[in-house]
Amino acid sequence: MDCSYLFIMDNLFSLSNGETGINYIIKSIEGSNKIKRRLLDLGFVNTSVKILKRSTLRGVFLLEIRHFVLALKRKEVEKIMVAK
Amino acid sequence: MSKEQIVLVGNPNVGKTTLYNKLTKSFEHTGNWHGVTVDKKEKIIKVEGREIGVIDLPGLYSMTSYSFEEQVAIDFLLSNDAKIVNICDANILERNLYLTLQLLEAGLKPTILINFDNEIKKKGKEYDYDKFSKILDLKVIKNDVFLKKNVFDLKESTAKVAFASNLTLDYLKKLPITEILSILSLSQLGAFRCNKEFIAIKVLEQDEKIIEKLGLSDSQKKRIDEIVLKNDYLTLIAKYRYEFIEKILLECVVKQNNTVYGKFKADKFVLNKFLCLPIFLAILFLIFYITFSSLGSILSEGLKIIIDKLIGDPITNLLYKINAPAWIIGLFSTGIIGGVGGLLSFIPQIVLLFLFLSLLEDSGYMSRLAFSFEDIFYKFGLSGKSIFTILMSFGCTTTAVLTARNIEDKNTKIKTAMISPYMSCSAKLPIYAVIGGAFFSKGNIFIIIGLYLLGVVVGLLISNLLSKKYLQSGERSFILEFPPYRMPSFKQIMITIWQNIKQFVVKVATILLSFSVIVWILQNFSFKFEYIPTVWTATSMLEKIGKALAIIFRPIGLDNWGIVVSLLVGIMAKEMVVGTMAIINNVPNSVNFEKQLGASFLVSGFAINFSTLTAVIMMIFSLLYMPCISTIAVLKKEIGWKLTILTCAVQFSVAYLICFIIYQLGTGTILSKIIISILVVFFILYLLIKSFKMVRSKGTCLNCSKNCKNCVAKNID
Repeated sequence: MDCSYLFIMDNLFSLSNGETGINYIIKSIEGSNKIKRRLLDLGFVNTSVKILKRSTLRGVFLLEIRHFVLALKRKEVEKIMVAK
Repeated sequence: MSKEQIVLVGNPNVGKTTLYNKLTKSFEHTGNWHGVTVDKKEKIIKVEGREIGVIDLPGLYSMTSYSFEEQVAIDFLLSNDAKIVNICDANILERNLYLTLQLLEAGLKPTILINFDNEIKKKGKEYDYDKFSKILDLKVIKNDVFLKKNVFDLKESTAKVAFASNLTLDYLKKLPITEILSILSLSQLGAFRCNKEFIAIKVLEQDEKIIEKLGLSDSQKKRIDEIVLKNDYLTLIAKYRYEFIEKILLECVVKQNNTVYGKFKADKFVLNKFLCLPIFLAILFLIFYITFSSLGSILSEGLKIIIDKLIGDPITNLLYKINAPAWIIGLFSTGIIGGVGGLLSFIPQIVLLFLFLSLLEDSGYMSRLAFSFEDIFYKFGLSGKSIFTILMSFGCTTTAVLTARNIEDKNTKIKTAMISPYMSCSAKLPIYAVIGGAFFSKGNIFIIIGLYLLGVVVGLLISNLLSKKYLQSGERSFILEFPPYRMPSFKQIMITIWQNIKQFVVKVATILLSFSVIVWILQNFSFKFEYIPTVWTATSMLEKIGKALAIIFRPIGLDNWGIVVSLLVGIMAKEMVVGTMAIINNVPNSVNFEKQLGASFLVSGFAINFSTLTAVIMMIFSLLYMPCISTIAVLKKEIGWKLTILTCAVQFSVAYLICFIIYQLGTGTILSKIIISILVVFFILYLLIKSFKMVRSKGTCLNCSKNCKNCVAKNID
């Protein structure tokens, strides 16, 4: 189900709702196997992540993870479930 | 015995191709952004008398493929005996080792090559690579690709050493690998040349490609599903791998430092929503100004004088001296020197254009541009990464089309390739320089900038229209890593420029020269094969052909046989348009070639002449009408025949339509002017409203702000 992340459990929320400049801990990745695998390959597991910037129309996120900078679309960022 | 091979593997943008170029003394294209290499490349080098094939692969993040190019790379790794050199960027060692670990899982024994170690040292970070090598039980070479001296060490060490790793990947025990392996038959596993544990991991990860290749029976599928669905193995495996890497790096780190790779203070301004566009436009304007207006034109003039004094004059004089027949002198002075010699004087401008493009590419700015443009380009059905292709198209569309490959989504890739011929490539430049120069003199720089903008705008609109139905992109992904800003390497830039000059000169000397000669013969001989300057009553073959076709161009004001022929020849190569016009107007090459040819357009006595209106139409039409033959060939390879024909047909129609509107507005009766203006205004309003709606539209779904099927149903519930 695409919208399962609507239901907030244990203070878990989607990174797309996060604030800029705050470190969040990645709890899980939702979504299809393909997106999930891609994000896991890039290191979105067992670590913290920070939003550096959102693009002007908020469609692209600039993230800092594992000491590098990565731009992702909102679609992918929504799948990253984080906690404070 | 099979040939020895070394294959270069690594994450994107770690310097594989730079190393490849150094090892093989090649000149492959490199750049400081991701996905520059899109093809597997191989070249044979000699080390101590032995022949070794060096192979460069496109960058990989992991052993799971997401695109056709990645699949080719992975298949190669899993099916070859080549020695593997795994290049790792010291800045992001953690993520780079993720791929290394998977190579180890597969039973491959790479040599690790640590790159950019000097960069992290400057930042105060240090690893103990001896320890690192011991733990991994792999040969580790600290070798900065960007420092010269170590390359030859690598050549020898990679050629000599046989590798073996006895590192135990302890996390494998925590996974149900034996269970999976017990389900698979020996013959199924035999199809792969790698460790069987690796196949089991891939099955647990549900890698479609591997599962497809295994050809599982229904009962096997069921039993595997039972195991796989018990746990989230995808996450678990990634977690174990990263934990394993973190543990190794913790042991090896000597000095820690928390700087973030690719994060830079200047990005505050470069990525700022108010500043990003002005900065980009300022850079572009500077590039165009230097290339076309100030330095570029001075150098161009200089070269022209040199060509004329060193080649043109002496040979013409010699021909006169030996009493050569009139047609030979004519062929040489207008056909060859006029048609082709004049083009050579554009070399300085081409050099400058490619110099700036490669500076942009190597600095790391391209990735920032892709980030800034993603939002807006997405609305037009393109990707932020399309900005690479568009900028490269300003150089040469033929090579730019290939760069579209690093875009993830297939339809977006096709659209990017399809709109790249609308961009003004360097070959179209002489057209603007000569025609625009004659009519607008000093103000021509603005005309040129206007034409570049027009190309981009038309391209974007076409892509937008294509996205409506035929080539929808949907909700595609966009993954882009930010490289740090780096000082571009002087040598690399020289290589790029040299490659492009060479390509240009070879083109001039072969295709352009032969076409010039053909055009000159067609122009100077009648169908009865009489040399026209001696038989004044005859009509040349070229004139007859051109006149037959001219009727098509009457509605856009270009119904002059000379123009028609020039445009026709331009399909072979855009550089030829000006050359052909020079031959037709019989303007010999001289120091003032450009000015003389330009001046001839103003005189009605010459075969080709323009009014200010038709001059503008000619420039716009040349910008848009058709890709050149070599671009058509590349397009065919990249997107197939059907779409290539569509690209050409759409381009011609669009060019024709735009020129038709301009011509009718310029010459038509008051009534037709009014009708056309109203239609154009409505069309523009329609497009504006439509894009405005797109920006504003908010659906009922709280999450994706659109009306996706799943969400709508849920929200109503």
